[in-house]
Amino acid sequence: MALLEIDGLSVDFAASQRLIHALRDIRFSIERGRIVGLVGESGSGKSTLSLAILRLLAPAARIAGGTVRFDGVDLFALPDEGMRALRGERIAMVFQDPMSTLNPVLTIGAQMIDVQFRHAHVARAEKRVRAVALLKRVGIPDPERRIDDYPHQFSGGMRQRISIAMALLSQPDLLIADEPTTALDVTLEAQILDLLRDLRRDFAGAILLISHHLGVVAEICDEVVVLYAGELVEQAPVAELFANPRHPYTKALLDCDPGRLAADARGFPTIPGRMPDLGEARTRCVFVSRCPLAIERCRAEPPAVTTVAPGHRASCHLLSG
Amino acid sequence: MPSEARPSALRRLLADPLGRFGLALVLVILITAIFAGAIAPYSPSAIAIPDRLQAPSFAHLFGTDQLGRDVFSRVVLGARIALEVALVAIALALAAGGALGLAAGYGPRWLDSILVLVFDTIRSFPTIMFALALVTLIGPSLETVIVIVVATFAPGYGRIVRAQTQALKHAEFILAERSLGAGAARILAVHVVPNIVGPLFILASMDIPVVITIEAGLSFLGFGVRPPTPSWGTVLNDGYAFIGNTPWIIVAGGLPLVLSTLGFTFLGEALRDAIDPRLRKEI
Repeated sequence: MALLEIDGLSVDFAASQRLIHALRDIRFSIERGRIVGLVGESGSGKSTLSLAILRLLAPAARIAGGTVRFDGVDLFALPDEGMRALRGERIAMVFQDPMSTLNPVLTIGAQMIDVQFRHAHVARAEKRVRAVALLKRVGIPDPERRIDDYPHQFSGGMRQRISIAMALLSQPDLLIADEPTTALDVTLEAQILDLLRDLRRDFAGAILLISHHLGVVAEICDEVVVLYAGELVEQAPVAELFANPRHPYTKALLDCDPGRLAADARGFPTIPGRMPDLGEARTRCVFVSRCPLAIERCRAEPPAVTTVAPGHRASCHLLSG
Repeated sequence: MPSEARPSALRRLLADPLGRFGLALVLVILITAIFAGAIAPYSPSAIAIPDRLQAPSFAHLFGTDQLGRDVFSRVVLGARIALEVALVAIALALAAGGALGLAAGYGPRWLDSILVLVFDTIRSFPTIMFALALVTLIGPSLETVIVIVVATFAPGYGRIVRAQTQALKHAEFILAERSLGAGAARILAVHVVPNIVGPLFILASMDIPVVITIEAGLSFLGFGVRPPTPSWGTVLNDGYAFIGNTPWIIVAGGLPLVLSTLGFTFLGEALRDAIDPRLRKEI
């Protein structure tokens, strides 16, 4: 049994007059110990998916269908208390902007000690020792002293390390990292990725890494899920996806990756057109308006996700024959 | 990087001349109130008709009133009453307004609507009318004054706490805390309250003179503390009848009101400047 099984998940947002379909019929699973990358451009539903797993969606959002099973438990059927018990304990999350994910008026020690509130029997001094150990683990120099500093006394990269340390305090089974390196510059990004890769060795859980940076995904993920306009368009093991992308959107996305450009390339390639209106009913392929290979059938009916190779799925009429 | 935020805020407060002045006045008033019994040379209610309406002298610094009571002693003990009412009432108003504001700001929308309606209804009542009604119902006393002040100030604090809580509710660090399993009580106590107490305390310190004035005003009108108890308002009322012949009584009752208003206002403003980094002249 997979650690996380997402089956037919759909999320709608209530807009002023109509419904916005932020996620439609998402289906994939994450095995224990794996790092799964979730890629897609802005607005493709990456963050909505992570918040839906934690049941922390904004009030305007509604789960329109599907189930999320974590270790066999249907998360949407859990009572609020049961869900809260899972958060931070078995599923933890690291957010995008390290500058705003720490409470500005509390020392990081106070926050890291407070977050261990489930362990009422453990002495405060012991919690502090654990916090120091984790800060050391994520590479904060001189953690015994710095644990009493406030967030504003740390740089962005340091703060992201602290956020990761906080998320790992309870040794969760699943760590969701929502663009953990997007707000950081390139050298810090490399350091955080090294940290995540390092953590893999002694952290037994799975990681769902959300990113719009293909280079990041290529470096540390085992598997990749590509989202477009709220739909899963392709899923494959990382090497397979980069070597043999099957969906036209994935191909276009890879062509746009600055890291894969030829040395003498002039300008950045882009994907012409823009994302479809997420309020539309699902009557055709979501990528049809930007797809260079679109055929008549793409306009007539939406494609289903089909398996094109072992572990490799994509949703395109050209693949289903 | 300096890690001690508190001493530097105090240093900034003392670097401001108005801050020093305000702090000095507030300390004088506080010390007077705490050691009132030792400072006052006479009993504030000791009547000595032969000595009535005397001009200020070394025996009676502020003179005597129409019953021969020492005005200085009455003013000194009045400081205790004034601060007692102000501190107790503001603390109760902060507690009540704060709790309701947190509930309105973090709770469900229906609760928010009800509480805002309650806040606005109470705030739309003129203080004096409300005070008159309450005094008629339960009689004039120190407790009545406190109830009036709490009811007048709690809705204002409630609205501020509600607005601040709503702004923080969607902060990413709150979402991060929720993603780590923190419940509503923990988020409010550990994360929201520490973020809003600073500005709230500054506001409260600036409200203290307002409350002192309300207490004096109600006592002046006879709706506050009962006559034998010395209050700056009753001293004013005593002096009011003799303003033509013996103006020192009304000066003695009014001066502490002016000084405490100046002291707490300057201190509050200097504190705000010292604590709020956006108002700092240098970094």
